[in-house]
Amino acid sequence: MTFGKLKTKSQPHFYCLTLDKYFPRTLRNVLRKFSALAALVSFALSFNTLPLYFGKADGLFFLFIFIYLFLSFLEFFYKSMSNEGLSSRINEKLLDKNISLDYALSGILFVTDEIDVTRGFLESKVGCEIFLRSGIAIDSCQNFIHSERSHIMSSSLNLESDFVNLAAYAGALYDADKSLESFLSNNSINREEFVGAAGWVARSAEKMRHKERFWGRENLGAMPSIGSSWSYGVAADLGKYGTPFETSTPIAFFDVESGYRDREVLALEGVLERKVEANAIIIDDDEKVARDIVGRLLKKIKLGVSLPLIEHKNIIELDSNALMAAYKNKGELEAELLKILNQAVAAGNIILYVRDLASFLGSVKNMGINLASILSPYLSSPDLQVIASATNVDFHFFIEQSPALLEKFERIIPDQAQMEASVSVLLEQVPSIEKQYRIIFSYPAVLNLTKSAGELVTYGEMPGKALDMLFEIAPWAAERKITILKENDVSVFMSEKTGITTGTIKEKEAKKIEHLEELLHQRVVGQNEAVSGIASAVRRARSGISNPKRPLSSFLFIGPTGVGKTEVSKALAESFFGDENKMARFDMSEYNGADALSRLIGDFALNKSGLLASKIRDNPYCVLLLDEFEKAAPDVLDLFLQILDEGIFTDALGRQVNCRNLIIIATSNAGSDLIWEAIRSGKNLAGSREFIVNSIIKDKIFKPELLNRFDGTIFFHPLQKSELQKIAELGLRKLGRRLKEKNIDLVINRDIINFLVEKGGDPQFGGRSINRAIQNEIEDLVARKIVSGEAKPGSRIEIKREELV
Amino acid sequence: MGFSLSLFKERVAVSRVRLYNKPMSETYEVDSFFVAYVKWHYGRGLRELFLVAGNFLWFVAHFFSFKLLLKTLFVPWKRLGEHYEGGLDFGALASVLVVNNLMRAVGFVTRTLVLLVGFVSYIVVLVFTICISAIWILAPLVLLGSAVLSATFFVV
Repeated sequence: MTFGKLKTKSQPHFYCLTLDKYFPRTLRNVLRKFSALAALVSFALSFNTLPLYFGKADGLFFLFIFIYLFLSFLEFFYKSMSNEGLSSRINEKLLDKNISLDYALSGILFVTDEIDVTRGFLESKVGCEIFLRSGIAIDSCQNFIHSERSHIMSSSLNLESDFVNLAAYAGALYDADKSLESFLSNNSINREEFVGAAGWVARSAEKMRHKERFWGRENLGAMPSIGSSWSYGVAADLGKYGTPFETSTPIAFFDVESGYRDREVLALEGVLERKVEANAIIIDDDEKVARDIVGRLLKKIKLGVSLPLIEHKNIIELDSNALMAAYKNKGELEAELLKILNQAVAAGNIILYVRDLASFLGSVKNMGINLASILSPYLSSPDLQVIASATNVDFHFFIEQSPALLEKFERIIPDQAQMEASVSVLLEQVPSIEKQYRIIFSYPAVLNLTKSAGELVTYGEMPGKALDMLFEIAPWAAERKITILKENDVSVFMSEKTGITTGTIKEKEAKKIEHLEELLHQRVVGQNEAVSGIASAVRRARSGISNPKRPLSSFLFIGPTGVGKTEVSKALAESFFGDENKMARFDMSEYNGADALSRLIGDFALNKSGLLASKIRDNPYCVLLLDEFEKAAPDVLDLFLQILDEGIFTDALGRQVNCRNLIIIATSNAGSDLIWEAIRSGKNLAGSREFIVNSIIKDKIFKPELLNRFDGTIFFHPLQKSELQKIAELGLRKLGRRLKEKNIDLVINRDIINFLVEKGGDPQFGGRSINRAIQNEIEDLVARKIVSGEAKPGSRIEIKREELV
Repeated sequence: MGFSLSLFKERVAVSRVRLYNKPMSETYEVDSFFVAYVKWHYGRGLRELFLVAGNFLWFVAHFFSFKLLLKTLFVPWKRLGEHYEGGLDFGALASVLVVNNLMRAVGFVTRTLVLLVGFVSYIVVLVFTICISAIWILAPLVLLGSAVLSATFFVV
């Protein structure tokens, strides 16, 4: 397809665009309505028997009739031509299925000349909208048009397929025009986002045109008909304990054409079409997914495009909670349930939706009612269809155990929504939110929101959690008076919400990341290898090049006790998550028994949640510190094999736990002896690294595959005298700060530091022994001085070596 | 009246010139607005007129549920009625018979009424379609006639 051919094909639309250009649509409509009214009035005035008789009224009548007819014919022509190439979901002879034309694209082609294609794109109304949806202000578009840029001839556009729509055209333009590409990338817009924005604009425009075609069968058929419910009965009690599905789930926004959840809706329709046992159970951990599928089916029924056997059906949601609240007595509840079911069967047009069937089963079981046996005959009846929802665990736990129920329900297991599908669901909801909060979403913002929700929100399923974010971000943006929500705004919102900084690295933060080693060294003495390894991992994570399907980073710290392994972890929590307490700590030596795994991930039989699972769920963004990792039971180590690889695990209750926003640090004393030996014999630790790792593997402390899963195995060397002195100094400064709060100055001198290193510098215990020495010797002495009144507020304490001995 | 028509023609001519004046590497034939309109009016336009009329007739049939109401003409109103429990109780039998027949009668009457209204609407749409079609086919005459008549009233 060449540009010229595309223009020729779009000719029918050009007639409309010409008309709009010289004789605007609003003016035409006003004039047409006015002439109709004027014709009527002048007709009334033309009767000479009436008091308001006007001699020229006859002439005026014919004049207005002429104008009215003329404009009407023009309007019909306009409508007919502009609908050329419009797609239709139902078979309608008015729309030729063989012709596919994009009216939005024609709007651009109409104003585009062959010498400068980009200019035409940017100067058209549709083009402007695309840039707006890409998050670029119109002013900067204008500046770009008038800037010095290379002009692109239409012949350089590579329009491959026979059917070119707006998105494909935008893509071809992007590929051909390098200056446009660099303009867009200066505004942080890539090809995918630009084409996506064009597709969105085109779809919205097409939807609008579909809506305008009131004479089309899809719009006429969507009107509810008279008398369709007369041959069905009424279910009075169901009215009390049931609500029409459309009142609890807004189905107006659902777009049955988007293709989203098509497979599931068709499967559900297929099940409900059956003559008997037409019942389905939708199994998903998020009930919203089931609701979404049922809602889309209902929308199809309302639009009159469902399969014949479920035409005219109503979906009623049974409110089991209200029912159970109203009847406390077993007999009464049973009777009411039977009454409701009988009425629903008698009515003949009811599809019953039971939310969370398993918990309903469980609750009535406590009252001694066997719901399965009550429901069973009705589920076999051809007059009643039931759709139920259940979570995975509940389904296996309650429903699979009851064969009577299991065989009556067809299982529908929804697919995990992919990124593209989730974006299309969000786009469905955007117009109403935009209207409500008076903000405009850019397409990159919606993309970023979906992506961030998928990666950073750890609870819920997609697209539900992305939708939750969408509903949360709108008032957030409105509060901050943001008119056009851009990609970066979403990053700010997400980092405010989760504490994880994403998106473009700001200057201040860039400095922080650049000098992360120094920052870490403020707390950690020595251990240069460890600090630089960690800092580069953090840089990788923040620059967005790390694998999103794994934990943010994972390290195995190997080294003797008291050399700063925990301190490094705390420093990392502080510099990455902004708080040293963002840490979940497990002493793995406690998890070496037979029950270790079930304590961590829960117990299915006891329906008990695990410690690891719940702690991560509570703190999805933190440092997970696993002390004495080598002491954990082998099956626990295997669990971490998976966590380190996939960034996700499933707990005993079947729920997925997301570990992708964790920095996992495992510490171990394994190989400490070898490290000591290496240091003692004056060898370089880096040189002995391979030997130490091999001996750890040889001793079967860790499997090689486990070691390989960590982003880095980091060795901590024993502390040297100079480092111990620094630790002593840091410890004393800490004490000094505490004393300063009491208005007492502590003088730190070399003497005390040396004393502490001599006293507490036991290389076997590292820094910890120094801290103990500070506590036992210095703090004790200071405390005695304060109690005796020797040190008063405002005074100075200078400790002499003699006092300490 | 003549003024507005000539103005329109002029504008169409301007637009035609603009369309043709676009620099195009491939030349292609494009009908002028007026020619395109005339072709459409007696070709696709006329066909679409009947199709739209067909849509409205389909809508009336759908809106008044013709098929469903005819199929369920004698079905009791909203499935109301009583069940005869069996046995030899003539009183109960009679009561059930009376109630059920009454419900059927109510259903029949309501449905017939709706069908009747629907049928009238159908006829109205049909007549309307015929009128519009006539105006459509005779459009040049109607337009010319109204312009001439209007002029006569002003001149005479």
